[in-house]
Amino acid sequence: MNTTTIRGIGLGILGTASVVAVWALIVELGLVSSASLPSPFSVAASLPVLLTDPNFYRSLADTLGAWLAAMVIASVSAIVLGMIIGTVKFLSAPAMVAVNALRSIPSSALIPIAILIFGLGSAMKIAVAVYAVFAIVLINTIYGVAGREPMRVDAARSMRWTWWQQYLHLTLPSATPSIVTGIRLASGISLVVVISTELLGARSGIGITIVQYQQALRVEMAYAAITMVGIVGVILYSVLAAVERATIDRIRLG
Amino acid sequence: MAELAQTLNPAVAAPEVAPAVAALTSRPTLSAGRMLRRFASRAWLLVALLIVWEVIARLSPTVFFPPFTVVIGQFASDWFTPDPTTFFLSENFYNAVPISLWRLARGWGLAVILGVSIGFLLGRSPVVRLLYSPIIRFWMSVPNAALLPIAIQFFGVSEAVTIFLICFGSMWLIAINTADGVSGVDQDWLRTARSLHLPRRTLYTRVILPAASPHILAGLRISVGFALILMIVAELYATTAGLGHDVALYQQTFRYKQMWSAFVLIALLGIGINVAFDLVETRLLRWQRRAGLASL
Repeated sequence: MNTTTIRGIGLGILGTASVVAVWALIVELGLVSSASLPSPFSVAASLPVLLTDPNFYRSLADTLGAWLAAMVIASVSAIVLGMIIGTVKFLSAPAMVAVNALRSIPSSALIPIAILIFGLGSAMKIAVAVYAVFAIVLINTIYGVAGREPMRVDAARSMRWTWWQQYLHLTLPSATPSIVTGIRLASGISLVVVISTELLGARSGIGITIVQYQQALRVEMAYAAITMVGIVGVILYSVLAAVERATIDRIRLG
Repeated sequence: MAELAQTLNPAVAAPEVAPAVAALTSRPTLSAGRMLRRFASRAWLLVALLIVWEVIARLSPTVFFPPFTVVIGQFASDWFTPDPTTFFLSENFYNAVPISLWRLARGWGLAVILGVSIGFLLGRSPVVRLLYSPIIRFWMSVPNAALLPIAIQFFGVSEAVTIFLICFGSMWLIAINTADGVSGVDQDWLRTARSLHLPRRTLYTRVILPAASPHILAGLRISVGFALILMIVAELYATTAGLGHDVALYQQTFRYKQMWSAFVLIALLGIGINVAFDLVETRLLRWQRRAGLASL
């Protein structure tokens, strides 16, 4: 580790500490009621309580399970469809019109409809999140495919590659960086959507847990749960960003 | 620094989304016949999908999922009237849409002001960026819907809940994109500006802001879509009026056709906001040379 990284980490800790200090100051001065904003110390004190609660892990696993299922289903189908749309000339423009229209519709508006069709279980959560992810990944796949190098397409053709060789060794690798970017963008939105479905009517999940704490007037526990969800979000984001950098580097080298 | 900028940038792919519509809108004048043919060659898939909806809904016996034509009929009777004094829009429309849009405008407008200011601070000073990027990244990663119960605790069931959620949900995206744009300004331009002794104001308004504008606009575009999602969530969860509230009400009172018609209105609003954004973006960024992807 060099000095720049250490300095960066140190400043990061300092900056975060300053935000926490302002938070503590606001609570100490009584600027807002402690029923809305508990002090950072009481939130920190309730973290161990939360982390030893098996119920918390169960609901977190429930939320992340729905999130992961939606990500996989939506990404795989969007990548396959996007590669076909991107390579078939007469489909590209009409598909962009349809997808752009679809993408503009806020996914959360679908939650009441999804509740009617799928009930209150995991299927409903997954369905809404799939909708939110699908359009983003599809658009990025189409753009990735459109950005193939024409020289490589010609080379593949002159080597008489079969269609599946072209998809596997040319189209998919060229589109990968753009696809991974799309997946990273979509992952945050789909987590928001999954938690929204839980607030609005699913039977289980971390969103339900947070509402329960809020309604039981244990606000510091609600804050602790949100903090943990945020940390999980940061980890997911960092992992996806690392994957993205790795794939982009690999594709550039290869 | 460059590496940090890259990891923080959530919007690498976003600027490429615009050219699709740019290509549609910036064409020179076409004859009516060619325009019609152009439209048909682009819209047939959308029409086909709507027909599939119609057929599936007609074949399935469920009341939850009415056919497209039924929804459109309901849509016309719900939101429009033959009365020209109200611009042909119904009372329903005036009771819901302005309220929702005004919330969106206030929440997102506040997010733009705060986000761009914070982004400039972060982008101009590497120290500030190192200090606060971890906490901003944390706030960006907290799924904002989880803040709803807390916001209710803070503000009670009021307008402020929706506005807070929209603002907090979109401002960090805007801030980080702005910071990327501002810190990525060509060093030669900054050196030239310094040797020309440009006043501070001119430096910001004539050099840094235009150079950073593609990044800023990319952030604004992602955030407006996100703001719309959060607006609907907040309205579904706890309000007494607005489009999301209407959808929830129709669902709870088993008026499914009305629910779908409200959904179509929300969809059209979303599409309208996006198209408006495309137009503004093309106009503001017309100095930029567009890459080959614009052909899509």
